[in-house]
Amino acid sequence: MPFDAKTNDIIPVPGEITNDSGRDFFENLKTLVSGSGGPINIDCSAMKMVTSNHVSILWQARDICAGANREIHLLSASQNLIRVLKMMDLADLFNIHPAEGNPMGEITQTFLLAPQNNFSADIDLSVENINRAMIKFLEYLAGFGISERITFELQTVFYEIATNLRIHVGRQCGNSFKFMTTCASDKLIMRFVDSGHSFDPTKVPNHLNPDMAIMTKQQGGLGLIMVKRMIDRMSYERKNGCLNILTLEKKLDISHECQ
Amino acid sequence: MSANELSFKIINDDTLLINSGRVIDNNNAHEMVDTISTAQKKGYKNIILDMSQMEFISSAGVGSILGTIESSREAGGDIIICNASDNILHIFRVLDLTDYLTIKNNTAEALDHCKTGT
Repeated sequence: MPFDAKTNDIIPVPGEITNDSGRDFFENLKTLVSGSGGPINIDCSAMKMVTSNHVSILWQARDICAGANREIHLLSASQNLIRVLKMMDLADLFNIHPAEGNPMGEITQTFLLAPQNNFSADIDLSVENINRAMIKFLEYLAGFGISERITFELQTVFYEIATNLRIHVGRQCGNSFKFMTTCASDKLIMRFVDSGHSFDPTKVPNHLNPDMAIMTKQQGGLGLIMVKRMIDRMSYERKNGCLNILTLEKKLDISHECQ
Repeated sequence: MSANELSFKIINDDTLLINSGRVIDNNNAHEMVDTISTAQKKGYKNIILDMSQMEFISSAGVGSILGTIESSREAGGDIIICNASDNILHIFRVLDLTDYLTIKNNTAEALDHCKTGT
């Protein structure tokens, strides 16, 4: 439905993001941004469930507003939305106005984003793409209502494995790796698939000798030690003579089991 | 992870405080190494790393500390970490470095350590 930017300065976020609703949102936003200066107000009251698509359009809206030097204000932000933005380190990018009766920081609900059991991505081996993929991974994790500690560990695990692949596989093949996750019972299973030289990380020692590390000015290996100590199970498979498949399992501290 | 700016404060002729910013990862760990090494060459035997803003440190970030701490300790000083959050401390615990590194709760304790060595 057309949005009259002259008489309204508030754009509602659709409760459900579809191709049509998302397109309408951005058309309305661009109409408003192209108008006279002043803050852009985004009405978040229709967001009963906070999905990764909602976070994505808010992120894109922020970029559009920033490009036009316009402040972006999120009105009637629910506790869930506030928590998701805080967990993803995006809260500082917005001026957030909580919904009435929901002071900033007060959390009453367990589930945040609508849970999605599976996540997969083909990730080009560049710093920017790895960072973008990590944001998407965090959006996915936010749907499970897990603790900040577990989220932090999973973020670290993803970063360290992806960066190792960028440094080592990128030199060989220069292309990408595949990252897939699935939630089974109360654990998250993550799979990294690359086409680099055969490398079995399960064989890397699991201990760190700080004196030796300093004496040898240990440049590498710390990342895999961190990963091994943050996950519950690691397995490796070399498939068809050309694929490295690294599978990691991490128990989640969630109050419900994955379906 | 985006790079962040380091900021500095000279405490005295022996001690420099570095605010390590939001992130030390593989993209900017070399800057941390360069910064600490430069400070050591200038005679600052104590380097206080204020991690109050730090949200993420990668293995390369940890490596940047391990790779430079020897020089400070050989000069009779140290690299002292302070104001680290629970998540950052968790990284050091995971790597069994909490006994090896000098970690203080806050800047005041870090400064005391520089004066007294405790």
